[in-house]
Amino acid sequence: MKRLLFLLILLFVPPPGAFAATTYSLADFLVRLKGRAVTVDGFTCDFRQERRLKLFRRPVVFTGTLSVARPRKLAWTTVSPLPSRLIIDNDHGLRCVDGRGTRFDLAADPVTAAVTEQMWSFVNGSFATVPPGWKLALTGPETVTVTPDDNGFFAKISVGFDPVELRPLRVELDRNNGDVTIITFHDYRAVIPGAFSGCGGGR
Amino acid sequence: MRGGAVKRFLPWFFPVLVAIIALSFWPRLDLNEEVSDLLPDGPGRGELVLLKESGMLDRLLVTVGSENASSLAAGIDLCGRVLEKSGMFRQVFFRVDNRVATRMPQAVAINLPWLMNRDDYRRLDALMSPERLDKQMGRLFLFLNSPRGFGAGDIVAADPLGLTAGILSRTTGLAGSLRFSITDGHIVSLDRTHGLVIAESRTSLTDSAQAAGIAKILAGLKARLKNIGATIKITGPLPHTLANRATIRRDLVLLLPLASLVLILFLTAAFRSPAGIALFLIPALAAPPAVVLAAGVYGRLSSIALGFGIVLLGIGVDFAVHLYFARKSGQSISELALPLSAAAATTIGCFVILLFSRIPVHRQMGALAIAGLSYALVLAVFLVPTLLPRGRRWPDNNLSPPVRKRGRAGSCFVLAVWVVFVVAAILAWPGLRFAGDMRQMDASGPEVAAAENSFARIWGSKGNEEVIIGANGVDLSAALDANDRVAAALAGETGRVRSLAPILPGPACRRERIARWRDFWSGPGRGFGEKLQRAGMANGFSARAFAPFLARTREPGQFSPAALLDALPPAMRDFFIRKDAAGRPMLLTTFIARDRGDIPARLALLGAGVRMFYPAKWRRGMAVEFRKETATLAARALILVALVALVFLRRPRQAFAAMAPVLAALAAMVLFVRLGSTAMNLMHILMGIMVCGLSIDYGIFAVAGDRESSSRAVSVCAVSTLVGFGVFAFAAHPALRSLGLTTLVGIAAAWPTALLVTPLLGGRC
Repeated sequence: MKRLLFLLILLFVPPPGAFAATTYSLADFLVRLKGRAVTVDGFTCDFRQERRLKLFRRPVVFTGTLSVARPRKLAWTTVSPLPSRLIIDNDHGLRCVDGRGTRFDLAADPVTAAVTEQMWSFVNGSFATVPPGWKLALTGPETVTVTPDDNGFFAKISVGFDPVELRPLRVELDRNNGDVTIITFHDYRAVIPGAFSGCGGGR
Repeated sequence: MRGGAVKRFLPWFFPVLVAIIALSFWPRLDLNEEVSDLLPDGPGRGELVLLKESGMLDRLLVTVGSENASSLAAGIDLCGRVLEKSGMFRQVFFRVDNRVATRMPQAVAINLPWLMNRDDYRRLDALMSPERLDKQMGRLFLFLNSPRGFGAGDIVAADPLGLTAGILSRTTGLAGSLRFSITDGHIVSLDRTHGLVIAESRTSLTDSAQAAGIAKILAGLKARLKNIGATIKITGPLPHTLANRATIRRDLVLLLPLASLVLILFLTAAFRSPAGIALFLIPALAAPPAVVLAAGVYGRLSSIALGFGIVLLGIGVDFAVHLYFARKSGQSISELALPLSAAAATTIGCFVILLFSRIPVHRQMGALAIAGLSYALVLAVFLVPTLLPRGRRWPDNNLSPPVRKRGRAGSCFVLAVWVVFVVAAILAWPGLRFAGDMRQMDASGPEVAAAENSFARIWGSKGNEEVIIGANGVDLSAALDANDRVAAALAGETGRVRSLAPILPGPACRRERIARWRDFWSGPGRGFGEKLQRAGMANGFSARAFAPFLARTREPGQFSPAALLDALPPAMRDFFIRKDAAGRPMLLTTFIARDRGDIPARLALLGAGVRMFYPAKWRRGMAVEFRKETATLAARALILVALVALVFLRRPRQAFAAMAPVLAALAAMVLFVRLGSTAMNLMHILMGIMVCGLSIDYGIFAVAGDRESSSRAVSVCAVSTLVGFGVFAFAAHPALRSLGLTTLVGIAAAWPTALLVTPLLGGRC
């Protein structure tokens, strides 16, 4: 799970900026990511998530939108094949399934609290939560790969970025048991109206 | 001339030598500051021991504050590292491993057969219908495709029915009532302007020496934090200990020199020679050997007993003063033998009563006072003659009112006032309140209270008192079984209980649960695997998706407590799993008391392996114990002084007359506490006994001594006691203030009674 959390940190690197470089070190790259993060107030993008899990009969594809706003708002909305929504606003959350919402308190839901905490870390440009001992490498000009140091949940996490805007384009999570999850992001734009306003808004 | 002086003061050589030898043993004294020594023997002390074993008294709560997020994070880390490096703490908790959040659900999922209770089976029953199963699978599918479910594959495979959530809901209170979030691995407040560092001291934070050492470290830390833009506020027992220490020190620094100065001025005026001051060396010479003797008897001596015991020894000067005035007025030792013996017997007798007190500090003080006063009496007999004037007339003093006959009306008025005073006290007695709450002796001021209020505001603590329950066993298995019995007794209190029982059952409970698991899957659950597979496949799951769960329904395998324990943050593990004073394992449970219901009675039925510290109940119990102890000690003291007075004075009327100052002193103390709307505390009891011992002396000398010299001696003794002890009435520390006020009030009533009432009652007018 922690690997996942770190993935989420890397995942939502903020957009704009006329930046392009071809050769740089990992440290430089992380500094650039952090530099970008602090300049971004929020964004909305579409995503396509494909999960190839042993638990599933066949690969499952979900599509939807992701909205993030500083300091601590996030909405993960799936549109197809099943509509659902997860909204986090500071320390409170709302889960929407079938149009019905369930409010919850992050203090009482440590798993969601941990996931969102890492997302906020990202939004704030902080990478302090990378566990010591994990290998972080620049495996392509704009691809960061994380390899955990133990035989834990994930075997490898790779995040590919847009070379110019430093937006995440593709994230791949590989598990030790062969499970793979690939999420691609596209159509970055300003936060859409009503993105965080309950079960029915911001679609 | 020189030879004569040497010969005259030769008797001082031996006592001085003994005192020096005794003082050389002082560095080796084994002193302690156990609060439990201030409590009566019995269950109440045991409960306080549990509080100590629980670590609550050793916990330091440091709130780091900063508006800047990076300063806050740096401040928390700096604070944690400094406390860790100091070596004074058993454990410092300032970072949280994020993996904890997911480890626990996983550990619970793989241990379901041993963790499910009857409520979980009811939920399981409800999920057996195809419709409910279909809905659950649909929900699970969606969950796995949401960010929350990215890492939950293994949990879902082990528990497709979501039973883990039910078990975890019973552990939501494990972190206590504080509201916080985890940011960058730190515990931070919801507004993210404060962070929390929790440290457990190696030794008790109620120990003032240890507290002073930690205070130095914190002062250094404060300065370093200031450089990075962060602040700290400390809560827990430490600020109280430091505040009390500082208050006592301030009081002693200010009041002791003041008392000494006033006393010296008074003695100079009273005796008009160095002899008077030399008289006060007698109890000072008696104190060191008495302390060493008491320490020899008890092994370990309470610092409180030592401090107050030495103060009590100050009254040993009264023997010397009476002897001095009697001899100076021409009385022989044989003439003085009766009143002096009676006075010594009553004063020392009062402290003999303390030996039978149920409060250890009382017993230690009693032993110290008996040894010291006995020795002071012997020293007075041998040393006072060396201070008497030789061949020249010593100046008289006019400390006592001139003895003159009063008219009948005047006598009646004096007697009436005394009777009204005593009767008023008798009537006031039932309305007296007794303080079972040791916090009444706490001198921590507004700063400490402000820090505690701030802590409650930042961390959302409602200030509820938690009841602490310790479940012991000869080994961990037995302790876990006892812990399960506690959990069963607290059934229905969910949400207010913090216990590991829901996730760490003992062997007996596990046997019962595994039998229920097997019964279920071989009974109502038979054939469930196919239904689950069907519902799962209809919702997109593979045929073998839930194989781990289904395998466990056939064969549960082995319980894995290590996985559960590993899923807990170390600080939480150490909070709940402890060792008692005998080194036996102990499981801790806490719950928020509502101060009603039959929980104490239910827990009491669980037997010797379960102990409880219920603050409100404990305070009530202590108040009852103190009332009982006060009544017992006062009654014994009164009976003893009455008997001794009767034996020595022979005639009941004279004995009663000698008792008059005692009754007046007790009456004054009762009325003072009652009218002052305060509660009777430990100091009142102690000083009350001392005042009884002194007052009876005044009465005996007023009845049996030479009228003129006795009046002077009584007055000198009374004024010196009022000055020496009464100055503490101005102390800031409640314990010292109680000591001073009790003495002031008691002696102020006993002194005029001895001079005015006793002669009337004894028929000497």
